[in-house]
Amino acid sequence: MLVDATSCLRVHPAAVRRLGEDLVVARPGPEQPVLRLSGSAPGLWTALSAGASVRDAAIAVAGDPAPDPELVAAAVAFARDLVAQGLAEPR
Amino acid sequence: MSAAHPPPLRALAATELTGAHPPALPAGGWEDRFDAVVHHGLAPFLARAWTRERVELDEATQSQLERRLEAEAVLTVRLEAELIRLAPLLDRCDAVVLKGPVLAHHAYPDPAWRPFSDLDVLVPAPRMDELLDGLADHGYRRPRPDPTPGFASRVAKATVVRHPSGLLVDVHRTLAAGPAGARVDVDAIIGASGHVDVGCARVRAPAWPHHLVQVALHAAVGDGLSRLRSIRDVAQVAALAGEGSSGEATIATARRWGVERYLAAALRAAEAELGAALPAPLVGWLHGPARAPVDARTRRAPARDALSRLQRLRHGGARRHLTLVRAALAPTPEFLRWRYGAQPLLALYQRRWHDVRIRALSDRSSNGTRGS
Repeated sequence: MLVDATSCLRVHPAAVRRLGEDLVVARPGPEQPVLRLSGSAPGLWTALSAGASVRDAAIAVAGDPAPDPELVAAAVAFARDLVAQGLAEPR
Repeated sequence: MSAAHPPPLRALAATELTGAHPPALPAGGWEDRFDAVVHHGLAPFLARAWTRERVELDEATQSQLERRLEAEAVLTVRLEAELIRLAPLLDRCDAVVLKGPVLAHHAYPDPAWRPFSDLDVLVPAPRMDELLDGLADHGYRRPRPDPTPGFASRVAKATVVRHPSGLLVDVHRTLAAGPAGARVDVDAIIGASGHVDVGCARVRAPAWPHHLVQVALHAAVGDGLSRLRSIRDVAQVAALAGEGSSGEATIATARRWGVERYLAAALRAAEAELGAALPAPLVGWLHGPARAPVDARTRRAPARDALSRLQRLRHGGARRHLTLVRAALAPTPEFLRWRYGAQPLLALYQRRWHDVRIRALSDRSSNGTRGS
């Protein structure tokens, strides 16, 4: 299923720890790669995990109800990346 | 009891400890103390002090600290992720999770303040083999064989298993090595435990009074009061377990298990080293007339002297004694090959008996010296 700005994700259970401004994320399984999310990604992760749509996640990160289209595009790309890496699936 | 660690490290270990009166935190000199900070498990506190501009760090130390924090965060998050995978197995075997993940999420203000390097679980002895088999199904291997069948479930304080990826799980049969762990009532710990969330994992954890006795045993017996983060754990859990009836339950538990002096030593260390303000019931007990001064022998003693082995023999059932004797005198060939290398079996046993005799003589001699 294609992920776009209106999509919501089901984020799979993962361990998350804050490291300064970044988030360190690991999926269950000792061989799974550990991701370090930085920039706007921690905010997007948090909002998507809480059930927000991709656009709403971008709004939450921007703190603006009309976020920059580039940020929305980046949020879509981030959400697709999460799906591609098996960390989430479209709902 | 007087404080044993340098004041700057004690001050760092008491970072934002509610109600504490630690020594003043010096701004400088942390470059020279960095190794000690890491050794004591205090890197997150140094980062906290630095971001709040309470300490100064040169660029090289900042980089070292950043690398250390990242390494700790990566390992911690991998272990927490592993808990998600292992939670059903742990539940099935009635195992409780001790220390690291539970304290990080439920005893400290921020999980990032309490990194950990392995998972500690406590399991009732009759379920030990089932849990070890389950962990083997999840890819874990034992780095060393048991000296004899039943050793893990009857004698060893804990059995370490390692995943090929490097993750470690420490499966505890009891809470402390030697006599200190002999009267610990594991069934009572399991019976009073409850489920808690550790990130996305839901696992069983001891009730706080039991957990306080556990962290006190770890600090006093396991670490010999030498590691400040263990002492900080005691202060942190005491704040949760020490009030009102919980505090009384903690003291009663320590009394039943015959480990009051270790609880007292750990609590005194929290007061002396960190300036911790312990809850009233614990303070009343600690400084009341019933408590003798802390025995200096609480500090790390040789773990394997003859006296401790004798005390280990005195506690526990006949099968346990038999297992212990067999582990010393007639371990399995697999264990002997692991210990001494590939040799003819007779040579391996001769080597073992020689070692046992030398150790017994050495114990006798050191006991004589101690007695003189």
